[in-house]
Order: sequence, then C-alpha cells, then structure tokens
Amino acid sequence: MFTRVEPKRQSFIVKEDYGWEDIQNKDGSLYDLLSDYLSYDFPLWKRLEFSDFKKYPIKKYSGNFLRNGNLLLTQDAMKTELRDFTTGKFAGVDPKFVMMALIFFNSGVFGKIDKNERINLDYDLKDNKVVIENSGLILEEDSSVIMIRSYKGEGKLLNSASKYLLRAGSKLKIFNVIISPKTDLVISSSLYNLEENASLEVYDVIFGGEKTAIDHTANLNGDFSRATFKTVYFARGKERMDLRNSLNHFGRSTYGRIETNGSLSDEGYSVVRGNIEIKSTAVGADSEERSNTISLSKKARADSIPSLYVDNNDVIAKHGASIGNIDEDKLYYLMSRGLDERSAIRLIVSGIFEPIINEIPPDNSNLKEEIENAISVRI
Amino acid sequence: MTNNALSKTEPGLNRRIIEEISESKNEPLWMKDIRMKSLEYFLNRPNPNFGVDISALDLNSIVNYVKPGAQNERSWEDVPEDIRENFEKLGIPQAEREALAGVGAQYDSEMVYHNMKESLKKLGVIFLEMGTAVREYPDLVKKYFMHLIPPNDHKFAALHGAVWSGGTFIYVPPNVNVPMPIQSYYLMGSPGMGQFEHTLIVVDKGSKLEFIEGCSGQNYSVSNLHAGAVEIYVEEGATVKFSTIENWAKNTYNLNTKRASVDKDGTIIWISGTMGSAKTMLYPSSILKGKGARAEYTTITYAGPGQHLDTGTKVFHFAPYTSSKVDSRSISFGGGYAFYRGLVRVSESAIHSKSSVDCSALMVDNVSKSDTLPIIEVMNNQSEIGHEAYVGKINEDQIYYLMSRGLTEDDAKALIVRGFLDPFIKQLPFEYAVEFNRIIDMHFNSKIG
Repeated sequence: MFTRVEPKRQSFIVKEDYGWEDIQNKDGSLYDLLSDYLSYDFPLWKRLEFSDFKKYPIKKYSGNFLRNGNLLLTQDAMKTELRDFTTGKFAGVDPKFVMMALIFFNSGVFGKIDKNERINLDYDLKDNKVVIENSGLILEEDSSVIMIRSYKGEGKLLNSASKYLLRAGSKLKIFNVIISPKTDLVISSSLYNLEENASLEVYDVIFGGEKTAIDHTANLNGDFSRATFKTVYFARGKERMDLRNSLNHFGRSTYGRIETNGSLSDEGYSVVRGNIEIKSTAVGADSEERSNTISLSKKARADSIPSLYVDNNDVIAKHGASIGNIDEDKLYYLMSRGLDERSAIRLIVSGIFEPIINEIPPDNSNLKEEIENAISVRI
Repeated sequence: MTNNALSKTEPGLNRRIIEEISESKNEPLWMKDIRMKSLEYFLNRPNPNFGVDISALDLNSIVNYVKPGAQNERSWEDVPEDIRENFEKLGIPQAEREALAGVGAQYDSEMVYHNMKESLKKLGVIFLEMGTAVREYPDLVKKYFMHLIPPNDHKFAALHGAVWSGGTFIYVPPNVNVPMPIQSYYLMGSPGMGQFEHTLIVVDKGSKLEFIEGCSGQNYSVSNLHAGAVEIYVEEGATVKFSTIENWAKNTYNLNTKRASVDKDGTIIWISGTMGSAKTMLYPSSILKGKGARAEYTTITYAGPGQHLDTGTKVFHFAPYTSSKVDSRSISFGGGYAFYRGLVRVSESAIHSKSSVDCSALMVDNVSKSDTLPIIEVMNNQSEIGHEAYVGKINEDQIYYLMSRGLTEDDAKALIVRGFLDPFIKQLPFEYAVEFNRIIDMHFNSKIG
C-alpha cells in the first residue's frame, strides 16, 4: 500500500526537566516510564509558539478536588489491579506531556464503575500553581457516568492525562470547564476506547491559559459505538489555543460528530483541528465535523485544520468550516431592539456557549454562572 | 543546431553536467549562475516532509537531459516522422489549424515545433521556446524567471532550476485580447529520463490569454521524473485561464510546481486535471497581491490502480477585496489513493476578502483511499472564509435507477462518474473533453461514450 509522508515531530531541549525527586508518589514501577520520559525532548509547536518550558516545582495537591463519589485516588490505584491502566501511555497532545502526567501527577482519580455514577472534580489552580492530573475510568457493561470537571484560577501549569474504557453498552458524558487565565501552559489529553454500543459525549468549555493545547481522541472500536465532541472556546489578549478532536472509526456502523465553535478578541489565536479517520473495517460509518469561528478583532487569528482520512467507500464523511466577523444583520437587529453594541455582541457570543451550558445538569448552577461571568468579563 | 550540441547527459547530477547543458544552449552567464546556485540548493535540501513517498525514486539514475533528434521547427512537415506520429495521435497539428492561436510541442528535453499566427505577432505577442526567449529577450526573461518560484523553494524547484530545458515563454503586451488559446504539449519519450520544462507567462495590463498545457508520456518499467515549473504573472486588470491535463505515464513521478501572482483586479483561472503518473505532488498556487485580485479553481484528481496522487490548491490573500473560489473533486478507484491538500491564507491586510473552498471525493470501491486536508488561516476579522468537504460512494439508488432504464451497471457507474466530473469537463477544450470521456469509459468498461 501507499505511504503517506508526514512531517516529523519537532522538539527542543530544556535546561531543566523534572526527575525522580519530583515524583509525588514514588513507586519502583515508574523507573521504566521515567527513563522513557527523559529520552523525549519537549515538542516544538510553531502555531502555539511553544519553544520553552519552565520547570515550576510540583507540590502535593492542597485541598480536595473530589467533591463526591468514592473513586480511588491515583496513589491508591497504583497499588491495585488498576495499575496497568494508570501507567498506560498514549499519544494525546504529545507523548512527553502524557508521560509527565503519568509520572509526576499530584492529583487525579481512578475507578471501575458498574452502575450509574455522578462524579464532580474541581481543580483549583489558585492554591495549586502546578496541577498535574492522572485520571482514568473503566465503565463496566451498561453502566452510565456523568462527570463534571472544572479547572479554575490563575496558576502556572496544568497538565492532565486521562483515559476511559467504555465497555459494551456503557454511557459516558463529560464536561470539562477550563477557566485559568494567565496560566502559562494548559495541556489536556484524553483517550477514549469504546466497545460495542458504547456511547460518549464530551463537552469542552475552554477559556484557557496563555497557551492551551487540548486533545481528545476516541477510538470507536466496537460496532455501533458513538462519540460526540462539542467544544466552545474564547481566546483574548495574546492567548493561543490549539484544540484537537479526533475520531478513529474501526467498528461497523459507528457514529461520530465533532463541533467546535468559538470567538476571538484582541490578539487571540485559535487553531481548530478535527481529525476523522475511517478505517476499511468501519463499514457504514457516519462521521461529520463542523467548526465556526467569530472573530471580534482585526488582530485575532483563526486557523482551521480539518482532516478526513477515508479507507472505505461505504461511509458518510463530511466537514465544514467557516471563519468570519460577527453577523452584521444579527447585530443590527439586536441594536434596533435597544441593546448597545457591546451587549449585543455579548449576547451573540453567549449564544455560542448556550447549547453546552444547557447540557450541564441543573444542580451545577455555580459552574453555569462562572461560565457566564467568564464571557461577560471578556466582552 | 549549435556546434556544441549535446544529445544526452549521463545519469545523475553534478557541476559538469549542468555546465554541459548550459553551454549547449549558449546561455548568458546569469542563467548559468541560476543553474549553479540551484544545484547547491538541490544537493542541500531534504526531500519534502509531506505527501507521497519518493524514497524509491533514484535521482542518480535519472537522465536529466535528452535532446530529441530534431531542431525547433516552424513547419510541421520538418519534424521527424516518428516524433510527428506521436503528436499526431494526440491531434496536435489538427487542433492548431482549427482552434488555436499558437502551438508548441516538446519531445523529451527540447521543443521540436513552435508556431504562432501572424496576426498575433503583429500585435506584439511573443510566443517562444523558453531557451530561445532567454537568448532573444534576455532582459524581459531575467525580470521574471524563477522569481515566483525561487530555486530554494523546495528540493524539486531547485532541481528544476539546475536542469530546466524547453518549455514556453509567452508575453502579451497591454490591452491585447488573444482571441484563441495558445497550447503547448509535452511528451516524454525516453525511458529513465527527467523532463523539466519551464513555462513563463507574462500577461500585461488589461490583456487576456488562455493557455492550454497537455502532458503525456510513454510507459516504461523504469521511473521517469517530471519536475516542471509554471510561473504566471497576471498584471493589473488582466485575465489568464490556464488549463492543463497531466496524463503522464504510470511510471512517472510528477513533482511539479505552478504559481501565479495576480495584480490589482486581475484574474487567474486554473482548470487542472491530474490523472496519470505513479505519484504526483502538485499544488497550483495563487498569490493575490493586488486589490481586488481573484483566483478560481476547477480541479479534478483521478487516481486509479497503483496511483498515489497528492494534489491541492493554495491561495494567498495579501490585499483587500481579494477573492478565491475552489471547486476540487477527486475520484479514487481500483486501489488508487487521492489526497487533497489545500491552503487558504488571509493576511492581516487582506480585509474584505472572500474565499470558498469546496472539495468532494467519490470513492468507487472499498479498496481505494481518499483523504482531505484543507487548511485555513485567517488573520483579520473582516473577511468571509468558508470550506466544505464531502467524501462518499456512488449512490446505489442512482445506479438502480439507471439500470432500471436499461443501462448496464458499468455504464451507470461511468455515467455517474462523468456527471460528478462535469463542472471540470465542461471547462476543457473540446478535444480534451472527448479524450477524457473516453478514458472514463475505458476504466469502467462502458460503451456508451
């Protein structure tokens, strides 16, 4: 068969990297992973202008990030049958950052769930300047989980790696809300493996840090499995965001949707990537990707990089993207109804976020308010 | 023929070979300098880090210059019979008489025939074999030659700069509407050779030109390489339509570069079909540098058994009120692999620009591949940029319907494929459209053509 030539990973060398002494939960089984970690240089990202990594000290997480649920904390999970799962590597945003999270985590939860469960995780970057999370869930057959994660406050570094195994017929709905202004670096990698008939919904609300890189990858391995990614974002100041959602269709009649919408002000810069890969085994796959960016500033920049890789002709695969200014007609209409321009713009931008805010379960009114506030202060 | 005529270089590339080519062409020193500099770049540049796998292409075994046993003739009868036959099969001289303003025909590394209607000559239109233009209009050529495609652009632009031979030079003076298309045809006849023709088109203010480029070659078991370059300068208010069908033989690596710069209110129209070759990398680019400049693309890529065709379009919006419209279609069948790679870049100063990119891919069977990667980069908020893509199979309902009307399944498929490619075929000169339909029928065992 044919080889597709792709650019090689570019990297840079840092003066100081984390080492054995920075591990919070020292365990002999991390030796191999650590030497693997150290053999990788940091990834060089042109669009994010990421070419330097500052080693902020990792400390024990202070406070309680787990609001409810009785999941194993990562330290404990390392000592149980889940150990292989907690240390399992994947590509994520970049293998270097995934391995960093697996080794140097100071927070995170692991669990096996066989019924219906609600999980709330609130990470506080104000009191914990460096949050490194290593999390994972195994959803047993026909179980159902709603997980709400938030990362808030001004910190230095957030690096999260999480993975999810969705066994046959299980359902997972996740909300990730990141409001961490002025944080140097925000990285989040998530991997989802779906068995037959499993269903996944991921909702991301990203206000980000100075440089933000997010990756969600779903492997639709089982027949009839379904995954939906919905991301909304706002970048302002000199914030840069690289948001990637990937769907890999392996199973028959699998279903995937990616929808990424956002807005930019000042010199905000967003890179929206959507990858759909349909393997030859995925007969009858249906996959679609959309993105829309509203740019509010002359100096903002929006990149859209959608890719479709299709090895099978019995599929439906589409993508579409649009980038433009705020809709003048809408603005004019709202202003004719008595709104001043700023309020009208705020209303239109809120409209991007609203469908996702509406999905958040009603007993999280604080979180909904925080998202609405985050929009208000940005416009 | 000049005294120090060269008939063929040894395989591979070194300074001596470049000197031989340059001397045999009696080139001015500045051109030889370009060749030497290009050679340096070529030796130092890595292979492209994307696209098709060219690791099996042995550049040391490629013969970079092959002179056909003929001079650059003005009269068709003077072209040697064996070469003439090849072109006659393609309908070249016949088309000239009926519908063309001028014709050039290149065999291997040199033009063997070149002619233009007298009326155009009187208007000041220049249509020459590229090497002749270098000698006869050195100042004009020097002003433009490899400015749009600098030799250090990429490895195969560098190779082209070092060994280029043949090709076409066209200059249209201000306010001249060239009434009929000018055509050049490139044929590769020798095994294991590289063809590196250079096309330089300058259309001055307010003028209009339609240019047709045809490419084909004979099939051999060894690899051939095609690394041509097309540079088009569309001056203020001018319009250029550049139609091309690249139907290289299945042993050919086609690593080709085409670029147009478009000044104020100018228009470039690309009609581009890629069907031959084993592997292709080709991304015609438009640099919209003047206010109100426009680019239009209608392209198709037709990847059959054993073919990996990585094609696309690139548009750079550098000025206000520029617009671009891309309709790109691909078909993959019999295990073929079609890859669309697109870029639209809208700079900070290109306010009030518009771009729409549509790509669709039709996959005829489940052993073929089709990928799409259209990148959009927008650096201002006063532009409207949109993109749509679709990958799918032939609609079975349509096949059933056509079969219920008495068509065989193959005929139905061929008809649907033709319908899918219709926007492209419609834009082609008549004889190319006929040829194209014939090729589709052949691939789908259809007899309705």
